[in-house]
Amino acid sequence: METLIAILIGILFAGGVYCLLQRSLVRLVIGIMLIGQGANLLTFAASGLTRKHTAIIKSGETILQAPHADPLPQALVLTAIVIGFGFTAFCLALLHRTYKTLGHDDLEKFNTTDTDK
Amino acid sequence: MFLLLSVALIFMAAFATPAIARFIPHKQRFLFALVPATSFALICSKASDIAQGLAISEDYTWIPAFDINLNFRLDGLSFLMALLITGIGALILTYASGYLKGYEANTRFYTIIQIFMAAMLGLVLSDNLIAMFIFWELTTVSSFLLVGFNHENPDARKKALQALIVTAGGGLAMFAGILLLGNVAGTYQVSELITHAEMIKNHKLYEAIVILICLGAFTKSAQFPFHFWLPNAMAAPTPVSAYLHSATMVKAGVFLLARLTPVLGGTSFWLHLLVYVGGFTMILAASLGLIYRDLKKILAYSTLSVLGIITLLIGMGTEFSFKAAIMMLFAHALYKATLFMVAGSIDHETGTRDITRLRGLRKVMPWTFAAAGLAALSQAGFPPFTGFLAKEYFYGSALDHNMKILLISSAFISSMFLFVLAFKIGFHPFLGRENKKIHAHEAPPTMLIGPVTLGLLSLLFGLFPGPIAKYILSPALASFNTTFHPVKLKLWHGVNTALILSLITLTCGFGLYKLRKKIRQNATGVDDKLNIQFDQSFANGLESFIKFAKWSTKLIQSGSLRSYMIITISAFAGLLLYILLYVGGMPEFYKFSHVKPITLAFLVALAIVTIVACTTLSRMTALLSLGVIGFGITLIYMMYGAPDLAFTQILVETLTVVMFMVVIHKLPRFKDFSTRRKKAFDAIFASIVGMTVTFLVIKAQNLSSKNPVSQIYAETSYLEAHGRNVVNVILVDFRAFDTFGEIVVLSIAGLGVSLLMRNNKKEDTE
Amino acid sequence: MHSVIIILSARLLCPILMAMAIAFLYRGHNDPGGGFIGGLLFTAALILKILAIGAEEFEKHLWMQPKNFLSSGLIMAASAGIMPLFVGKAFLESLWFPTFTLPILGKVHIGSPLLFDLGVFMVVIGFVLTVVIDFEEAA
Repeated sequence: METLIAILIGILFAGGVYCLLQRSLVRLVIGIMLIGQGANLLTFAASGLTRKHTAIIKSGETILQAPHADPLPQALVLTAIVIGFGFTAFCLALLHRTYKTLGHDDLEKFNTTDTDK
Repeated sequence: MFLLLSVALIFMAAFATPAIARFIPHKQRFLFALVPATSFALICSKASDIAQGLAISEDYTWIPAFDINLNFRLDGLSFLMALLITGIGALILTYASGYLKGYEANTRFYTIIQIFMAAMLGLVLSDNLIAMFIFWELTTVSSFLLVGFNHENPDARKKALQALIVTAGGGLAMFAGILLLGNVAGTYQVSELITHAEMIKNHKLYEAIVILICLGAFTKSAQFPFHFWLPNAMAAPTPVSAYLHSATMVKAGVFLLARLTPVLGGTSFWLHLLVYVGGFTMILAASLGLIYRDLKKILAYSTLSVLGIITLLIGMGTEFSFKAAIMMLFAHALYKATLFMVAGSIDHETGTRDITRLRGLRKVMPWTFAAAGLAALSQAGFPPFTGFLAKEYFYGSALDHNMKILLISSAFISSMFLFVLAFKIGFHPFLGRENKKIHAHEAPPTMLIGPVTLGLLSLLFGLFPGPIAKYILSPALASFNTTFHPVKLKLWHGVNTALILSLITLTCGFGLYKLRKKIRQNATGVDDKLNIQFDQSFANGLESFIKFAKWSTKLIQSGSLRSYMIITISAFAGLLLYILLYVGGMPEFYKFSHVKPITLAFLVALAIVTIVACTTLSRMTALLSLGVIGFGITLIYMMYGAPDLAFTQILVETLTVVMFMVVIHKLPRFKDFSTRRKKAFDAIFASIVGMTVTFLVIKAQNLSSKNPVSQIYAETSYLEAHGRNVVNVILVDFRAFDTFGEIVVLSIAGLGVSLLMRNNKKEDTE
Repeated sequence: MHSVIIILSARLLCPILMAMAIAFLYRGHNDPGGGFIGGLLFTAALILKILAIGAEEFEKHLWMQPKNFLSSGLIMAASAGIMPLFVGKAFLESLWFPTFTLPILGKVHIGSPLLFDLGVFMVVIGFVLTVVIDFEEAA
């Protein structure tokens, strides 16, 4: 099962990289989002997966008892999801503004810093 | 505290200046001189210790891990330099208050020159070479700002840039030399380096160290072939030239050479390098000075010549020559600062610096003339001035040396030329018939105090050399010999070879002075040719460097995001693959067991949706696919015991879809810009990257750490942080700092989005 | 655009979602939940409202500017960090009041991590609101 998840992560990355290489700005944003998803899953899966066990201490116990999910990657991924959301929003805003200012979204034509029309 | 205080005081004053200056009317700005004067007094208070050959050290740790500390050390050599810096500094600030009265930006001047002053003081007081280098570069930068003070003038900017490039370039070479030296000896402390001197001199890197450090010293002290920046730096306001380009900054190079003589000196490599470079500079510069008409140019060349003399004397490496070097440095600082200020006063009061137009100023500018005369006599080497003492020692040490013939003849030529240069400035403009076209008047008192004081000191210290011997020469010599013994200094040594040489110099010099007009007329054009050649080759070098930079930038930064991406990602994937395969071997593919068909179907579906998201030409399909992927991943989180993640992910996915829905009509439609071949390449490239990542994950899953970090969290979460949800406890307690950083980033992103979108709106309404 | 279904469901769901969000925030320390989730849920409620009545109308009803959510959240989180400094603890080290019992909630633990989480909660709300309102207005 873990191997399958690893393959899925690979596919997410591959898709993301493919999108990054396209010349359309919207694709670029999609690529970033896909890589973001892949990276989150990578962090989550890298330390091994435990099924049906959470990282919550059961009532009556004082420490997290062995088999349990690793809480640290979860905490890291949780922040990463939210940051990823912020990043996506920022990219969208940037994309929106670029498109408005330049009137096109062909990355190969973004060779100049001058935006004077 | 004491040495730190004397440096910090000036720094603080510099930074306070912009705020204070507005309360001080221009007429009272000589009050700024109180700052260096206080430091001067502080340093003077240690004179009695210095006279006994003691050194005062203060250590402050700065970056101990790299052996970089603020070690201040006041010994004989730095005592002399510190007195010159603060003493002449005070007089220069007084002078500047008169000279710059009309200038709008003179607050800026006071600020920068005080920063320079503090940096220079830090430079001479630092025992740690790294700290010294930092101060050294600070003097370079502040001098750049001062040379380019009239920044509206393109010529001044160009010359300031030239001075900066030459001296900062040399400084970088010196930094490399310092690092090598530190590596070889294991310390950056000059006082400790001395104990390793033998080892350093026998090291195979010795020559490299000497060359690199000398590059720094020679550029700073404008030795041939780096001499050209100093005459060009005369674009600075005269108080700056007087202070930086005669009395202090250009002395930093020779100071460093003197400072490191006990460490690096005494070899024949050192001897020849310094003697030839110094000697050549001294003769070339003095003879070039003969053909100029501009007062400041003449002064610049005579300064170059004297710097050459000092370099030569340090290179000679005998105790006698070192004595002469100290005397030369001291005498030169006194008379050259005076002559610069005189030149500035003449320029200020008459509006010209052309000596062919300046005649007969003695009547209108008597005080300036007095100062000029005293300083000129000192430079020319008349007894009983300090300049005479210095020259006597110069001749004496040359006679003592085994390179006698060469040294004596070159010393004779340069001294004779310096005589002419001295008279051209100190006497020529004041004597003779008045030029009726020039309406001059005497300089204001603020502009007289400096030159007159220094001119008188040139005479007084020559007449009564006792204090110089006691407080300056003997202690400074100790920095060279590393042992202290008092030295006597006498004006009259009886009739000896040196005195006879001196007298011949004076006679010949006077004869040459009479011929000055002829020399200048015959040699017109030579100077320009020489100068232009150096300027031109510098400019050419700079231009081809910029061309190279442009070419290489174009090569690396093609402006195509695609190629950047390919380079970056292949570097990432390549390194990862290298580490994974060659260092760790192939990952083991196992744990394929217990896969339910439904899970398999689910994962395959996710993979297909991913591919759809990448290739679809419909914006809506892409958006929906992204949503499906997000919700699919939510399921994975849910399955593997991460309810918090599942919650967050599902909410974020929902919000992302909403966000996209809102703007999707505003976004451009998908277009296929790439050709089929390019796409095929992209697909293959992407697959390789994806496979690499898969390898990485499998590899990581196979590893297990003996003591995972989470173990501590798992054990203390409830007992110490009172929370059962360990993930949340990590977020808000154990690693709350990270979370804090994250919400700051989130806030900034929010403001950024707002800015980008709102600006838009404004444009729409316009 | 202003369909009746959305308006009605917004009216019905909004208070429920908000209450849930606050519950998630509070219970986050011991069960799944916390500032991020609570904040996202809370904004989900607000966005439902925006979809129902439009951004401009919504802004009129809003009792605090979205950007003020950001700043007040940051201030809360920062003060949760600074408070421990006064009792000689490190920045952001947790500080707890003695436990007491309330009728419905049972045992109550209040401490600086809760304040910190509240700060996170506010920042998340502020962020999403800022973004969505700006996008909505630009569209």
